[in-house]
Formats: sequence, C-alpha cells, structure tokens
Amino acid sequence: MLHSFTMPRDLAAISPLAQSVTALMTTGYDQDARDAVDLALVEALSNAVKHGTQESAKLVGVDVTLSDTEIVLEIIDSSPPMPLFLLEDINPDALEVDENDLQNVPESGRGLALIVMMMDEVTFHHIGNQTRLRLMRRR
Amino acid sequence: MNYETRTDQGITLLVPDVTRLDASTANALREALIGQLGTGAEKLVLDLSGVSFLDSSALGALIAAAKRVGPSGHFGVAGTQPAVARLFALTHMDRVFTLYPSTAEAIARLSA
Repeated sequence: MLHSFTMPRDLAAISPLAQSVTALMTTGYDQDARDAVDLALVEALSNAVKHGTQESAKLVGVDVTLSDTEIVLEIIDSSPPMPLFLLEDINPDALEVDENDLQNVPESGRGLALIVMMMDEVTFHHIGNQTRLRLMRRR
Repeated sequence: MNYETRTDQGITLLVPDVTRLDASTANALREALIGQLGTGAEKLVLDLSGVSFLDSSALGALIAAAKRVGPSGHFGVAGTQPAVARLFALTHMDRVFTLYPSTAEAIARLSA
C-alpha cells in the first residue's frame, strides 16, 4: 500500500514525519526495524533540507510502500539531495573513530553511512529535474 | 530544546526536555553542553534516559562537547535507550565519551 507525505524544508518537520512513517509499521516489523527506518529517514530528510534547494516553496516528498516482504521509502526532491558519486563512494571508514586523536574526530559526515547500514538497499535515481533516494528494508 | 541542570557531588547533570534529539535541536544541544563546560563545569554528564531517538547531527553536538573537555575534566552520557545505544555502538562513541547505565552510576563512579 502506498502512503504519500510531503514536508516543508524545515528541520523541525523531519521527526514528526518520520514518526508518522514508523507508525505505519504495525505488523511484521520489530522495534529494531522501526528504529532503523526512523534513523535512515531522518538522516535522508536532514540531508535534503540542509543541502537541497534553497527555494522554500518546494516541498520534500516521501512515498512509503509497504508490502508483505519489505518497506520502501522514496525521498523525492526537486534538487539533488546528494551528488550520485557520494552514494557510489561511501567510505566504509566513515564511522571509524581514532580515540587517540579526539580533536580530529569529525562532527558530521556520518549520515549517509548510517542510512546504508540501516537499510537493505539504497539507490538513487535522477529523473528530469526530480531526484529520488530509494531506501528499502526487508521485514 | 530546553534543558535542566543540577549539580550532585560536583558533577553537573544536563537533562534535555525532549524525547528526540535531531538536526532541529542539535545546535541548542551543542550550545547547552559547551556552555556548561565553558562556565567551569568540570565534570558534565548528559542524561539521555528520556531520549528515545538521536541522529548524526545530535551526535556531532556530543563530539563537539567531548573535544572541549579540559585535561582534568570529564564528559559522559548516561541512561541510553536501545536505539541510542545502538547508534553509539555503530559509531564507536564509547571511544569519544564515557557511557554510564544511569546518572546514579555516573555520580557514584565520578565522585568516588
């Protein structure tokens, strides 16, 4: 079943939308799966709001499709939420930490690596002037 | 985001009044933590027992705080719920700040 949401380009709108989505995951999903979708969606929407278009009139869309086997989230934006090469080049060390060099531990840059860890499949599509980040998590 | 602070045996506890710490609250969290460290709170513990969700933006605020702890100071995080504990494990945050099961445990260990 498809559920469509839209969101203003406002950081305060992200968590309420993510909570609306995880509330749909009532049967067949455990708390781990809900937590994973919550985090991945919040990271993806934060990325869209922070790095997407500055045109505040353009909403961010989220299409959620629940089936017997999986949940698919498509984050639909009118400008690239991330360049394609970033998705192809995810650094497996992005979540590593050198405790002997605390001052150089990065304070940002973990969002995409976390999305990939939380999901079973992450793909990015550019169609016309629209971009779709597709996140899939199996039941 | 608002927060409460209290001091117990020389340890400052900071308790946010929200259940979710995300990009919309990360700057306020960062300012709150750094503000406490800047006003001489040597030992600072963030109480996350009421926080069920935390994202990478809020994580950045915690890392920023850990970087500002002086040589004799301490920054710890207490009372993580499962989703937050999992995020900390994935991102190796136990190497950046100390994790305590509860604020009582943090106070007991830091005041010993």
